[in-house]
Amino acid sequence: MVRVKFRYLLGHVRWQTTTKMNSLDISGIYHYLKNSVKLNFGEYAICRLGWTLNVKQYNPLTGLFIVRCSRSQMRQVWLSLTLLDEINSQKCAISIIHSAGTIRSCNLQAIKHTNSSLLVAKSLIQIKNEKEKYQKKKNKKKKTKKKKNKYLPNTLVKKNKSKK
Amino acid sequence: MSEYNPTLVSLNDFLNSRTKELKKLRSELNTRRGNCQLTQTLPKHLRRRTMSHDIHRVPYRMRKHIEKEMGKNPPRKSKLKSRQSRRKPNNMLKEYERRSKKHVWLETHIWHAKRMHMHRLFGYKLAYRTNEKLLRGCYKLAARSSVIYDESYYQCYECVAKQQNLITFFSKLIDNQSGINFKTIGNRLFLRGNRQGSSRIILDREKKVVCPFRFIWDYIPFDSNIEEYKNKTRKIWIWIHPACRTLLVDLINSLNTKNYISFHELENQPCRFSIIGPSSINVLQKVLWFDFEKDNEKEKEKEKEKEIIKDNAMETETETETETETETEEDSALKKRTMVWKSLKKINKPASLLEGCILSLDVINPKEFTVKRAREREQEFQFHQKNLTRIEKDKYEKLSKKIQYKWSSEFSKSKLWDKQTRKKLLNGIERTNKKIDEEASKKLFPNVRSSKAYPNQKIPVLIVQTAGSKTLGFGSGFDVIIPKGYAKQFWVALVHSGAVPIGMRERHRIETETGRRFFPDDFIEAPSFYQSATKLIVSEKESQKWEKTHKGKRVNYKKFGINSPFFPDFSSLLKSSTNHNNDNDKDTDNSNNNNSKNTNQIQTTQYTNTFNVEFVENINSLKTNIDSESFIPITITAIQKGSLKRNAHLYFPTKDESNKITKKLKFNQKWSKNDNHCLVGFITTGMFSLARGCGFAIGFIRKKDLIKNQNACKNSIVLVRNTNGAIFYPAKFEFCKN
Repeated sequence: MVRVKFRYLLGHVRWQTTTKMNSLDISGIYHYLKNSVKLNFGEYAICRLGWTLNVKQYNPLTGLFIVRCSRSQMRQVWLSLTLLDEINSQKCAISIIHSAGTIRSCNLQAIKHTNSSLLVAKSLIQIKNEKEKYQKKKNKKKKTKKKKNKYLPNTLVKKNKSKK
Repeated sequence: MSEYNPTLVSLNDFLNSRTKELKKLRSELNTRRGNCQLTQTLPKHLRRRTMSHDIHRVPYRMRKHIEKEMGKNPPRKSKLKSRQSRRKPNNMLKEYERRSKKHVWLETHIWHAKRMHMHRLFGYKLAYRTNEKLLRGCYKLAARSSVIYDESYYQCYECVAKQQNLITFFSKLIDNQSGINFKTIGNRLFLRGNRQGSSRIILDREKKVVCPFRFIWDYIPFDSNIEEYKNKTRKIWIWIHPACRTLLVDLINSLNTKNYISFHELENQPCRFSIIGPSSINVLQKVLWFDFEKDNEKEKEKEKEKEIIKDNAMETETETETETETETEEDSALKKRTMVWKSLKKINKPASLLEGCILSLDVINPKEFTVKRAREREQEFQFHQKNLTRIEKDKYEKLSKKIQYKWSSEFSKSKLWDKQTRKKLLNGIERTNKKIDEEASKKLFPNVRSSKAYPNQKIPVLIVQTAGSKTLGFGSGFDVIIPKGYAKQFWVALVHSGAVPIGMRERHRIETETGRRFFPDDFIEAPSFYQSATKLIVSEKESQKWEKTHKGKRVNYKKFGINSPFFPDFSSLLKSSTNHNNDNDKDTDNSNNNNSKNTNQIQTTQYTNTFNVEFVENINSLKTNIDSESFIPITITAIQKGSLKRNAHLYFPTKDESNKITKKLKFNQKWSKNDNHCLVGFITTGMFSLARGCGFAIGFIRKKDLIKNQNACKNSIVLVRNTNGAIFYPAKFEFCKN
């Protein structure tokens, strides 16, 4: 039997403002996605997609999502996702990280993505810590150093003269 | 795009959200689920087919998890136990009993089920036909050798009351018109209990439902006076067909309001086999064996002495007389029965005995000895005659004459009438087949007849003669009545000795060959006519076959003017008042010009219809009451070639046609739409009779048409048209007497 084949697209949403978009749901993304497909490719494309179009996962905190579509219509969905400007009257930018035949490989890629972002954060924190250390050290050294004054009396200075 | 990069990031939120996501993703990766079930996550070499409904096939580690999943949609719990426990012998017996509650099984059911086609009829599972082709062959077997049929589905009822009360009670019920050989229960022939009688009961006077039955009286010694027993309590045993059982019971309970009679079903009903054919004597003598060796030895000694004395001087008959006086009644009865049993060898056919005579024997279980195959009658007869001595021949000749003309009631005394003996026999099947086989294996010469080892284990058996046709005695035989529990052993022994087992279809055939009607297929006057095998099995099959075939390749019954091709529709005859005019014929044909489905509907609505049947000796003795609509049973024999088939239509010929037929001129007449012949009746069973060499059938004619066409009926000719054609076959008819 011939199987129906899908493609899963891993994507990342970035918002212009820093407001939390917890109200956005899977159904909301599906709605806006469908509209963008209709805008860009027409109703024929929607009919061809049909029931295969589906938003599988979405994390509002991180902005990662997985979208399913049929194999033949993958490019159209990808395009429509990148051309999505606005969601819930808020400007956003969607970038697609990975496309795969199974959700499992998309999840693997999502792990890599988060790891990389965590590493970046980690490195930034390290840099910050090092900077702080360096500054601390600096401040310490300044305090210990004192310059000699020529014009101070010698009486304070001890002379170790040998008797001739 | 760099616009959408956040300028400020809170580390805590950033890190927390990402760590949570990571955890979730890693947990999902570890569990390889998706849309599949837990059982599918196992590697392939651990998966089993029945894991979905049988937890024991799942590895132990995963059972708890899978039970939770199953809890949502639990599998259907099969009430069946494991196959091993189901197939244990105790459980097999229980399953047989469970299955047999709906449709009762006879004792020989399992034996029959392996060799015959079983059908559900009258609340029982009965053998309809054998797996072999025996329709034509059963005639040969019944004419020359012997044939056996299991009749134990006939119900036996017991009536206990004073003799006079019984006679008066049943005289109300019995049909006075039950044929020419009509005999009541109170007839002197049957009162002593030495002969079986048959008659017909009216079960419903309004609808005129009639059903045949057989009866046997209790034993009375032959010396006593019958009139002394008028006020003494006596018993009757009645055998009735199970289709009419409920009607009988309701009738008698309604009439027996004051407990005039005690009427109840016999406890531990005996089984009944009917053996038909001339060599039924041989078959029975091989199987039914009791200890007459002692008598044999004594007799041989006596005969030797007699021969010696004869050669020298006088005969010594006085010695035999004195010896009989000292013997007890039982021994004398035993002797008589042995002599009767032996003298049966002299008789050629069972038809030469008196009709319905009864013999009782105490017989040894045939399981305990091997039964040899019986020879056919002619061979046995010649062989027997050679080995007889002169004195024995004379004795047997005298006895055979006595038996043929007189049958004393001593021969019919038996222990089967006793309730307690029947109980003991049932409960005391201690000697099961296993034990018998075990003991036989220890002996040197197993399965040799010796009653000395088992003197107390004797089974009382009744043998009843059944009459056949009156011309040649075809269809005569014996009915064997056996107590409950021993049917299978006797059946197997009888079959091994040479009696060929048959089903209901073959039995029906043999009955029609004798010229008698077979209940319930030929009895219109009972509602069991619509429960018979011909209606339920044969006609349904034919109708289904006809509906499946293509229109162009099947018989067009509409064109031939046949409204009910698969089952006779007598009610349509009653509706049409006068069938003489052409207009009425057309009306009836056109009004009922329906498809086969409509005819089937008509038949099913008139399920409980019964029709009045009258018996007639001659045309002159016909009653002139035209108001009563009734049918007369007739037997039809074809004059020219042609086999008469079931559901054929009967017509009366015109004067010219009857003259042609009597003068043996050519007669080629075909049916057409504008036909002048009037429909008169139908055939219920038809066939080519091998005994007569021509077509033969049993049918019914309307009385009105007979009375009106008396002139035409002088030659007693009738035209027969089969359902599959338009040709008229000329035939002669006679009035049926049963």
